[in-house]
Amino acid sequence: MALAGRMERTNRTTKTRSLRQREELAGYLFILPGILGLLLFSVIPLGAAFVLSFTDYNMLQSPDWVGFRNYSYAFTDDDLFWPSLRRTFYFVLLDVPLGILLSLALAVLLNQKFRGTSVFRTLFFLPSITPAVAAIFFWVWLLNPFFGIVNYALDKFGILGPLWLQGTGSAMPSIAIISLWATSGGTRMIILLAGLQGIPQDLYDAAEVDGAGSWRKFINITVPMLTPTLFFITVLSVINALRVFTSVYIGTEGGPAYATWVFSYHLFKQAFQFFEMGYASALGWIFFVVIMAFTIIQFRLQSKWVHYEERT
Amino acid sequence: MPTTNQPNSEEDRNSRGHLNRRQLLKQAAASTVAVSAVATFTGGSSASPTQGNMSADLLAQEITLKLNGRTGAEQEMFEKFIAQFSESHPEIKIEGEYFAGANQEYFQKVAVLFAGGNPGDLVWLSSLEGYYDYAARESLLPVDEYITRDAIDGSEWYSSAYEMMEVEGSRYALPLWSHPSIVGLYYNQDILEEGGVGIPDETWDTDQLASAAESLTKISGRTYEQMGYYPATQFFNGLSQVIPSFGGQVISDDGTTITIDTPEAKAALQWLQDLFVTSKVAPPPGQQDIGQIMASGKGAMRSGGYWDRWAAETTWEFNWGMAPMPKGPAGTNGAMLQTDAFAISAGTQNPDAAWEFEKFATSHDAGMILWDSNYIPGSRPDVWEDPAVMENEIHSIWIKAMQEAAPLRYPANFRLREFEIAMDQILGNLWLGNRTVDEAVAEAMATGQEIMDKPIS
Repeated sequence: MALAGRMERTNRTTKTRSLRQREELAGYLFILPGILGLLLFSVIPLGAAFVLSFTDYNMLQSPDWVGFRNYSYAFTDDDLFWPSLRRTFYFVLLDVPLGILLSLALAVLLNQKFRGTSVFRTLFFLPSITPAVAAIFFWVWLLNPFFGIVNYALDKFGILGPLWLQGTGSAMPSIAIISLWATSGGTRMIILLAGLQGIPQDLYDAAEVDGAGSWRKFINITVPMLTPTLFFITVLSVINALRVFTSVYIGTEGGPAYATWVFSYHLFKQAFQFFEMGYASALGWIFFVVIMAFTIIQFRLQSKWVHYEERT
Repeated sequence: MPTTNQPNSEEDRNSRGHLNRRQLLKQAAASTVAVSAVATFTGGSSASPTQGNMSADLLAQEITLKLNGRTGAEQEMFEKFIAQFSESHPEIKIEGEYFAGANQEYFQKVAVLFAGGNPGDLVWLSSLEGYYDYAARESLLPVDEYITRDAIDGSEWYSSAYEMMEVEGSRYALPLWSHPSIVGLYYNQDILEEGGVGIPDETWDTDQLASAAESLTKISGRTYEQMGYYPATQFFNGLSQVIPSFGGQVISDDGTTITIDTPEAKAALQWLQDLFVTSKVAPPPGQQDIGQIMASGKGAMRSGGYWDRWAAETTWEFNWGMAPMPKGPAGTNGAMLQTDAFAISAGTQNPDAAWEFEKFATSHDAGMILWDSNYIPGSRPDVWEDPAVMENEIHSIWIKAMQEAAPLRYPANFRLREFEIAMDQILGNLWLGNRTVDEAVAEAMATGQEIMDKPIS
């Protein structure tokens, strides 16, 4: 009797394990395409780029091992390395704070209860799903200082419009304007909206009982409760801004006079126009470290300003 | 109960050509490594010409060649080539693979194709981009043996064009089409007549051009209601013509030194800067598409190449004409020869067939196809100077420039694109008025020389 019971338990355990194994296998199979994609298109190229970064490789002939020469060239001899990095940071400074503020403003607006919210939500979201190349061409036409409609309109009011993408001082802010238009109402706004809608109503009710006005509620409830979301989108926005490329590639080709020659564009030129894939790989790894450093700093700083709700 | 003809053991299955899963994976991995190793270390086939009667060899099998080119006018030309070539070579099928975009986009795609070991058997390349790059890096097939075998007579093409195809002692193509760079002055005749500045001809000089352009320019604020004249300012397609027209040179004969710091070169740069900054006859180079500006009827004059005639013929809906680019103080307009080519990639499996197409594309017949399509009529005097062709007024202007064209000067380390991009960026400050000529030249000289001193990449 005892033996029969033990056998039954063993059978049940085996069946359970078998079921679990089958489920695990199914799980692995489901994620297999993603894992394969990650390996083929991210991990292996990253590894290959790391090895190539120690070589002189023009893509057409066998690479030659040069040790750390590419890295030392970047830091000491490449006249465009530091300026391109500086311009990239300048773009981040222009794009990230303004972008988050605009997204937050739009999210707060859409969080109000009034008719037609869904229409505005769609309208705000549209730029983010417009194909980037088409959108940038459109902006290039609009902002052309000599034939574009923006300066034409300003001229009608007697205002001399700026040179926009064609001025050394105005080109990067113009790139930031295009970026803000494309991203403020996009995923960032939707994430913030979700964050806003996750704030418990009872906090606002309690504040109202205490006589708090709208601004006070926004500063003392909304912002602190939203900091985890803000932290998340800040990390993502900084990474995205550091990788600015398409608007430069399409809109300015790094000009005028290198004014928008950002790091990713510098890397791209080395790789695909100057036949310096080994050096471009080194630049890629340097950039990876820069982005990683920014991200780690942000994670370290989060304890200073991110408020995680403590539930008792 | 198993039947007797079914394999019972794993060994049995393997012995009959079946693989278990582990072996299959092992073999797949081994094959992948082997294929990768072969692709990495063999560097493509060592194609060489077939001796003897090639036509008979080719007729024995049907061959498919892939051809890379750009969309637009060139695609139209190449498809005509393919159609005519197929009539005489039905055994060779050519599939065009065309890429949209301007030079930048096209040549990036070509770079990726070469890097991936998958370029077309025939690739359209230009002397300013691609041809020297790939030839110097052993990615193109030398055709010297074919030239010898088929007793090709180099004098069938303009001699300077034929010479341009030589890279470090080898030839990698025959000249497909050639032109003397940006030495045409296209104009909107209606605007010029209305402005009363006369019609440009070969007697015009750069001062007359600047003066006419200034009087034709209408600008409000920054907005151009009418643009007087749009010069070309890219280093090879622009400065390499304007600077010689003032008596200077851009690069030394041997391609090792940048030479834009002479008084003549500086005078040319000053003339250009004045057009943008002082008289404002045109906006500084930037995002505006000069083709669109002219087509919209807002531009009076522009510098252009032979190929711009095609756009003028097809999109300009007003009276227009073309004159030789006005001469500078040196009494020339600085014509400089450029040549494009169909190069045969080093890894082609069908070099003989590719060579057959190469010969056709550079033949008199192909030149006439180009001419009939309003395009640059190849690179052969027997097309360019064909009496019927010379009847065309605009073409006859180009012939003179073609005959006077100096050889293309380019960095001896073949870093043409890197050099030109750096120059265009640095001199951008000159066109915007942010630098004086001396300041811009000093900066350009330092950077340009640094690039020219680098080894071949």
